[in-house]
Amino acid sequence: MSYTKLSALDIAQKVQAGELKALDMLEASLAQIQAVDGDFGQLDGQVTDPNTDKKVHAFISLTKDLALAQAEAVDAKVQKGEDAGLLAGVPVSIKDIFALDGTVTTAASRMLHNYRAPYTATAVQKLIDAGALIVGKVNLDEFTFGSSNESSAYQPASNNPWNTAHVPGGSSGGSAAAVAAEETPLSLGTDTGGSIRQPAAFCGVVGLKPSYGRISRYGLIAFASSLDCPGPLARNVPDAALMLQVMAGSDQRDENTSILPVPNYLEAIQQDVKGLRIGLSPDYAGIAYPNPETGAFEVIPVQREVNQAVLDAAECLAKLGAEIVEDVPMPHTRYGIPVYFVVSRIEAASNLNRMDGVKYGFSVVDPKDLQDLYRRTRSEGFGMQPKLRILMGAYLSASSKNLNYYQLASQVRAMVRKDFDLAFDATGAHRLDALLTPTTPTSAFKRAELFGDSVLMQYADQMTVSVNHAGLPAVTVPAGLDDAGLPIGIQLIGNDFREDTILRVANAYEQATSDAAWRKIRPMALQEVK
Amino acid sequence: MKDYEIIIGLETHIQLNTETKIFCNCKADSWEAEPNTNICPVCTGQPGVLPRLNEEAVRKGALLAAAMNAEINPRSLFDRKHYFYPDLPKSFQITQLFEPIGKGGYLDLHMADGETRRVRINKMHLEEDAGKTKLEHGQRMVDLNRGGVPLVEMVTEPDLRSGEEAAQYLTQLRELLRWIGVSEADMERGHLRCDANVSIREKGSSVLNTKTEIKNVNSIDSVRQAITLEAKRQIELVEAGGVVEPYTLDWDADAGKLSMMRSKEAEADYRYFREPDLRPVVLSEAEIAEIKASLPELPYVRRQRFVDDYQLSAYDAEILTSERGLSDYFEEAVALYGKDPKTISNWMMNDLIRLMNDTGKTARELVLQPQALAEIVRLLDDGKINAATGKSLLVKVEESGKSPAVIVEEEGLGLIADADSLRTQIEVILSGAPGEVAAFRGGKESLMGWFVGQVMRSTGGKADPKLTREILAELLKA
Amino acid sequence: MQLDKISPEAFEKIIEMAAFSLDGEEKAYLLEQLNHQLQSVQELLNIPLEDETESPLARIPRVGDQPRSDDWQAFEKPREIIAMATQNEDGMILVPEPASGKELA
Repeated sequence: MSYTKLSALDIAQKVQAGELKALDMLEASLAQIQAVDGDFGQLDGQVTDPNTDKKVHAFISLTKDLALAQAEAVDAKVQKGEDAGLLAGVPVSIKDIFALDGTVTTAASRMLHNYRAPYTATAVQKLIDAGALIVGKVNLDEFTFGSSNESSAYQPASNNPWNTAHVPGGSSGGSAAAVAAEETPLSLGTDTGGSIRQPAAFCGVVGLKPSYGRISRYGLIAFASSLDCPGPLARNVPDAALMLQVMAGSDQRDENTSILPVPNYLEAIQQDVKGLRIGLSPDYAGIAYPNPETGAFEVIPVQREVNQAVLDAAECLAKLGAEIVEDVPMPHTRYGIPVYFVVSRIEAASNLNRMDGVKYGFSVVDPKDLQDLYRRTRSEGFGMQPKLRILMGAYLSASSKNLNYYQLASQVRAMVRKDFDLAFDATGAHRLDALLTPTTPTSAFKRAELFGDSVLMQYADQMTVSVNHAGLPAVTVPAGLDDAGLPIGIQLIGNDFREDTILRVANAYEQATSDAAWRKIRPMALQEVK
Repeated sequence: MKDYEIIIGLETHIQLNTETKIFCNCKADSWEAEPNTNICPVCTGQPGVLPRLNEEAVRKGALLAAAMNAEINPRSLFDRKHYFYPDLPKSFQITQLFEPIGKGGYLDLHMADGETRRVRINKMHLEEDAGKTKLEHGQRMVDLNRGGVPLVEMVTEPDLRSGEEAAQYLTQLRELLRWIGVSEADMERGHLRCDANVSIREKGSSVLNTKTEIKNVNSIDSVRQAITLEAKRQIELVEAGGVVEPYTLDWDADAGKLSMMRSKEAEADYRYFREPDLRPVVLSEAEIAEIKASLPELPYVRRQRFVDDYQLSAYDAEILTSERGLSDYFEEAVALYGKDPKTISNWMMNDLIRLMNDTGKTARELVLQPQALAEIVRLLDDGKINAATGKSLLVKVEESGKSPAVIVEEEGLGLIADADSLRTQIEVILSGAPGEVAAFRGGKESLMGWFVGQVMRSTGGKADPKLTREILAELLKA
Repeated sequence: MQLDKISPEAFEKIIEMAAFSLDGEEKAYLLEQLNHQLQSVQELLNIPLEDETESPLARIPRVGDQPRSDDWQAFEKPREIIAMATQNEDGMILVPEPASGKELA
């Protein structure tokens, strides 16, 4: 059996037991990458592979030397009988939005094409300290702006391993693709409006957005400071729990991290779901989209197979002893996108102000003067998606308005949160332990299908974005394939810092469906490999 | 020629003397450091970094608010202020707009003529400093050492009425900052920076007219000069039928001239919004009470008290409260001395301050502390030493660290007060000067001084003068 | 309340605020997208607001509830930071002058 089929838990166990050398595990991972990934995403990338359309293109760069040194260190520790860490010898890919000292972090943008961070992100350092092998940086939408990976300045951008004519989703498209294509069992992604969960659902893998502040953002190049969450992508729930375990906790460098204790997730997920109250909401049955002419909200129902998957999951969980609570109202879900437009754009525009060609990154040659340096650097360094977000953010935060948009959006955001407060209130009408919803309204769309229509693309995130506004944890797990053979994900949303509960439910579901026929089907990209 | 009133508001930036910067652990003071060595990922705005608030910056900011009679905000927030300039790494400054650390407040300006002008504070908030740029051989260079240093920005209402008042305000502010220990306030090192807003109006009017802004007036003299000059320019302009334009002016201290920096365009749009990376700054009632309680007696109050309680002159009180340590020293010395405070004040004003200047130390840094000073004065009072010895003891104590009494003993500096031995010595002297004795007895009374001088010479100045005169008078009687 | 569409003139001001310089085609696409997005933002203005405005994130105990202590810690490699600047010399970052003395907003 190829080592690349092993779960992260198994790898760590075998490595620690001396049954598997970290170096061999690394080799296997690199071989898999070689076999399925094809050309890595490059700035002004030249595509040489005639089979490129069949390849995954998850990666932008490898960090082979780093991984080798890490593998050697792990093997040495094991030799000496020392504890080599919870993730001993486990290959991990990193969304190229995290600072990692000694490597280039591009953010999939020309603006940072040569940026070498002089420090390492806390989340990444924790992985390293736990014995993980950092194999390389995976592709993403430029600066994490997008839901398809298509906006990356590093082409070819990632494809969906299940059907390479389709997008892997975004912005953590490279992460989801790398995991789905068995290139690395784990990947570190980020979720601001659904950027872990949506690609995880599209690529048929597990993706967890932790509570805001559960994992440190120090070293994560910021999109929306009050929404961004680093999180794990994995092929099964226990692996996601393991990776969360390593990264969770407070960080003195990040004021927003919580000092609440970190539970033992691996233990927690073993518990059954008897008596747990799992809610279903009619407000998650479709996307509420404002008609551009009338302004009235129209509901576009989710794809039939997606809806069915949620119902089937509810039935499955009911059989396991959970109590399904129907008709949980979440009336402010529809405002999640407008709030997102305001909050995320204002914060993003602000966070990207620092890219000015002076201190690091791309800089135009022979600027006429300071203004010329700024304008041409920013115009040539940023792609369309960053430009769009920056302009929107600048417009909305300009003081020439009579209105403070940020404040208004923050107020509505509190109302979005309140829906969840009422749903989870232990003394309330519903008393939920988790809310079960579709992760995305549809399965993965085709390349170029939505790209360019920023509003429609954004509205597809309606199922995930409210969770970010509320700061809550949510996990997506594979729940089958649609009629076209593309993965479908279901989402479990939990209460503040109750990752243990949602992972527990997710694990129970995963265990109960372990024999499902759809789990035996392999992604297209893997069928090419022997 | 109409009668005009000059309206001035001052905007000051005060560098707090914390150990570290406001949002990272780099040093707050890097005056001596090589450029770009006192930096880290956070204060250079690297992608992915986050700010972390310094508790001392909060405490000092709150203390300053209390000293300025402002309300300490129990829950203040930080905001982002956006603009592009090479010395601002994130291209936004973290500052406080909506909920600053201090609300309201005032400084009572005590003028020379006895008048008090209350200068109200319009805003007082914490913020981070930008780095520095300099132009060398036509090339602009950026040094980020100073980026992130904690500042308090304090803006007055337009309550000042002359360049002199403005200078007074800055002087008093500087003194206050040093007094409460929140800033070294050395204007030459940029610890206290000032911009002045100046406008004029006819006396009796209550309208506020267009103002100009004078930037970087960074010494007390400059403030006085620049404002006076600008007011004069505006008056002349208006008298000649012109209109004051809202320019931003630059003050050239060397040339003593104002020049136009730029016309004040429409206010830049700073796109302010709440800083999401920082939590609210919360101070409990207990913490606020503690900060208020830690405020020392302020200079003006202490000055007044010295005049009232110790009957010092206003001038003396001024000198003795020019530095907090010095005024503490004075009070301690007075308490230990137990007699007329004016004696101590005289000693300190003349001799102690000279010693401080000579050694380059502050009162508290001296080896000679109030205990020793009080002892010296009492030795003099008791006639154990003479005035000259007293003065020399100051230096001797400072250099040796020994107590005055010990030094007097060791070096035999005590006055000869033993009447018998002195009498013997004087008899010897008189017997050696028969001519003068006869002359004195013959009526030349002025020779007493000569005899005293002889006694002093032969005793090395250590004869008790009073006793000497008594014995001489006795022996010289015919 | 109805939000006004962004006019081409207003758009120019935003472009300047964002420190961009864009060609006609880019401007057309971006402006169109912005105005389309504004229609969505429009929704916020029509929502009857409730009293409670406390941020959801304020209820969790976090590191920033206590400011950090005032202790110096030097960063080991300041030179590496400066080395990232495209124009740097002798430990200084070099920049061009503003256009004809004009200062940027």
